[in-house]
Amino acid sequence: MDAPQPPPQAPPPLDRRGLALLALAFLALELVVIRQYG
Amino acid sequence: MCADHPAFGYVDHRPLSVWILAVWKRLLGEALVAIRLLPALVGAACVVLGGEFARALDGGRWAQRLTALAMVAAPVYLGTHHVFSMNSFAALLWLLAMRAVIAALDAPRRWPLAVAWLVVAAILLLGGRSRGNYLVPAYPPLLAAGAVALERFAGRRGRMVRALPFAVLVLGSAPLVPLAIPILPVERYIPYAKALGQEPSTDERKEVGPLSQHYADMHGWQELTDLVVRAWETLTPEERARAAIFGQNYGEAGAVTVLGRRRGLPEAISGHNNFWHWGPPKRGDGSIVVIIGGDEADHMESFASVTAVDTLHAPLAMPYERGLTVFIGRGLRRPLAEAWGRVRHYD
Repeated sequence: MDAPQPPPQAPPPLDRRGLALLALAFLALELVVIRQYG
Repeated sequence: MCADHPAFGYVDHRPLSVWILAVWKRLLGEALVAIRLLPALVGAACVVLGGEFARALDGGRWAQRLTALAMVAAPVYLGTHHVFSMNSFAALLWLLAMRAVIAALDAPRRWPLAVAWLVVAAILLLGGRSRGNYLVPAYPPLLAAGAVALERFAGRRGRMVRALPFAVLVLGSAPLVPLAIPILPVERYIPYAKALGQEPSTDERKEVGPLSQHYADMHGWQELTDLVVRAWETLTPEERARAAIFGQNYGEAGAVTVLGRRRGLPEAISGHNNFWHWGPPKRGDGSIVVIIGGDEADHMESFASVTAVDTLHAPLAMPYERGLTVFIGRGLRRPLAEAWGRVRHYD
């Protein structure tokens, strides 16, 4: 008899807050320049 | 300019970014701030997608943040996303395409990323005319894979070890930010870049001045438009009705068209790349042409008379743009269609 397969591991949670903050930091850097020279 | 001429292909562009820009301009107008907002938003989306890519490779919070921070800190992505170009979408497309590949596999695996990178690098190398920066959009998935590998190494170590990659990214990249986006006034930027050992450069085998081409190409267009407006205002109303404005390249013709639109100038023409396909002037017969740059002796072969109006003073522009003379040519010696066939150049 085959050994029971382990249940598939759930993917790690998405770090929504961390990624959003870093995306905003990127956008802020770009917007500083765009506002100044746009 | 291409966004004003929607087509299924362009001499030096793929069409997707042009179509996107055409729709964007319809929605928000053609103010530079509005146009540049789009690549900035795309870049911010890449930061999130980079982090999500790390998660797709089984990366935890640490790997996701490290990937996203690498995307923020890499000067090349900052530089690619503060002006609109077809390159603004390349990293996004790579991330989406490779993400679809990872999603199609039965388990998170990193080898497809290496294979894709190697195949594209080999194609570019074999092509013989590629630049190293063509591969820049391919790196975000690799950054994610690297962050996940680092997480497995650093996860079992102390807080200092886990903080080290973040510190290296921030401290290593911060001094390079002014090289990527113009946050320093130009008079401070030039000595700053020199102090970092950064000589002015170009990817296009052209002579450079005090600024690298990506910064030099931001200078001189307003002054050039002012000069063309001055030349245009010397024409009588009858002459203006049949006159055209001719630029030697798409930069000159595009700048004068966009900046001159509100000052009463018609759309400029050029023989360079797609401008040639957009054809000779639709109004008039081309018998009076305001000519941007070029050689007076050459112009004399094409026109019965040539008058120099003035010379551009733009010391920070690329050397081949900074000392342009604007001429007025009268009396085209050849039929317009024949003359148009001679001005085409693709480069």
